[in-house]
Amino acid sequence: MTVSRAHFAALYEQYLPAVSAYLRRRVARDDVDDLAADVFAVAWRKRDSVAAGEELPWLYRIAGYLVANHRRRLAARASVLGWFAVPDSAPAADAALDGDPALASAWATLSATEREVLALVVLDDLAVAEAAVALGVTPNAVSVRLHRAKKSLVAALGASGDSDPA
Amino acid sequence: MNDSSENLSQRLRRSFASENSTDVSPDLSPDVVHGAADRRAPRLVNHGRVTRAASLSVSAVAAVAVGALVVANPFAPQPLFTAAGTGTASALSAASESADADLRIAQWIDYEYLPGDGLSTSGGRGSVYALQRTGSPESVLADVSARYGVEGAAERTEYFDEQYPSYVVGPEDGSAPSVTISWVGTANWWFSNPGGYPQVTRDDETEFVEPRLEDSLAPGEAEARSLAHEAFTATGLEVAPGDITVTVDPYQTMASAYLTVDGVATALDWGIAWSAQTGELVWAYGHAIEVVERGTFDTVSAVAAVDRLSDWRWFGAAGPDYQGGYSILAAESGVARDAIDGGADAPVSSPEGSEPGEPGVGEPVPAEPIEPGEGEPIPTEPEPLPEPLPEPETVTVTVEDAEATLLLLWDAEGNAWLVPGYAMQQPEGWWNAVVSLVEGVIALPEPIDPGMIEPGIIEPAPAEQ
Repeated sequence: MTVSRAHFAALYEQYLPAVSAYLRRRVARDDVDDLAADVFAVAWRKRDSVAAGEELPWLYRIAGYLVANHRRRLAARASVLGWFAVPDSAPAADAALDGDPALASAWATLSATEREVLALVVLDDLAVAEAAVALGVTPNAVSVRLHRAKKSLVAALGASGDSDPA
Repeated sequence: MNDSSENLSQRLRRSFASENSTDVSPDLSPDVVHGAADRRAPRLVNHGRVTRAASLSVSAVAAVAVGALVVANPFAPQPLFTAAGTGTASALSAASESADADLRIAQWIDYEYLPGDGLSTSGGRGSVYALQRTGSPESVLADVSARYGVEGAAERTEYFDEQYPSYVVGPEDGSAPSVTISWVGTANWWFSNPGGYPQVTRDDETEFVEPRLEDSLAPGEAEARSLAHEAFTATGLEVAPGDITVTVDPYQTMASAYLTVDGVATALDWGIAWSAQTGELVWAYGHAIEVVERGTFDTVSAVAAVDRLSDWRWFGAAGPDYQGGYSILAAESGVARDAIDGGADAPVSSPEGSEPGEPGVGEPVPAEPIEPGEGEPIPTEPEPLPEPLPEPETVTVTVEDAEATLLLLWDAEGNAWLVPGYAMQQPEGWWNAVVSLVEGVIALPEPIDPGMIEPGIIEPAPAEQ
């Protein structure tokens, strides 16, 4: 069944704060509005392909693609290697962790995949099943990634002499 | 571990929250959602919109129109090439779009592709190869003509065009053997011996006698394989005899083999055939190229590549292991047009069919070189669509199988390339193939909004023939 404009608006308006927060953790504040508009424009175009109840993680998935593309464009302006960068939509260390240098350093050692799954579950408060939708992988894969990501983060903190994760 | 994990989570939340406390996420206007339907959704694989927005002048906009992905930044690396998009050699791409458009109109179905659980989320690396033409059209024709006993000098064909030059040795009217070459892409040449098939003259009262295989004068399988191996090797294809496919039937014996690069059979093939009635060599075709590696580049994951199934610009032609899908549609709608139009008595195919998507068996068409991107005559006015338009049916396709391979791709200059890609099997069994290079390695043509498809835009003929 095709979702009407009214139904789309009624259904998706509730996700504006979440999408804004998701984007703000990943891009500059000035870019949030435009990217959010793109997220919902894509969502409208593909509105019939999302399962009921999975709208938010699906929006995150769209947003993740757009953030990765956005970053690649920015990177390309700074360095020729930017065009060849691996897609990365996870929050960066310098974006949010100035108040905890040890954690920032450890966060920076994680792979994009590890940062993304941690961000979705810990910062964006998605359940594992929802994160699976956002990442386009199975819940089992999310569980494995999440476990490895936490393990890597703890190890990185330990390596920096910070033995207390709390 | 659970306590430790929870503590770590809390620390992460605190850290991110404290940083953002003075710069909270902005309140988005509800118009973002209410106006979503009116906003043009970005293509998730296209940087063109932003690079265009960054352009400072009309000329800059014009400059990026072809290679929108890369030219906004003067320090960005130049792409290896700009994939064909309008006309040139994008028979596959253009025809795919055309086919897609046809499908949308005829069946009114929108396909949504989703990655299945089994697809990898890891990217990788892959090599890009240029298929560089070797020699000159005259030298290649001289070699092939000498090999097949065709006398004469190379001349421009009747259909010669500066953008798509083609040359021939021998007559173009089918009265005698000839060799023709198309000096674009893979420098596809083909030999045709119309006398190899004797003219059948009978009246309606004469009973047609089906030829019998045991009466064939053509080489048998083993001999054909040996002869084909020698012919292919002499014309630039290194292939083991065991990799040559031989087909024997009461009408002819055919042999063909595919160019293999890095152990991958590509879409590029060589072929040869003998008439069962006369035993003569009746046609042969091949390419005058050398494979030159141009570097190794990052590739996207299979999961990420699934999105490219919705964007014809990423499509390429996979080898014989992955036939079907848009490749066949492209061949049927554009590249092999003459074979289709030729009717049952006409040669059934063209070596052009060995270009994107066509396995390339049958007899080459000696007279008219079929240019990439050429298709059915293009109407000047779009047909009015019925109003109101029905909502398209959306079919969600979950891609469960993606195999890394090499794809044949043409660039906007008419050159051919082999690039890494994924062949993705559809539930119906056929395959689609999309490029797996990360964005920026090659430039893409401007996208065509499916909702804006107009005859004459999708498939502009590169040259009137």
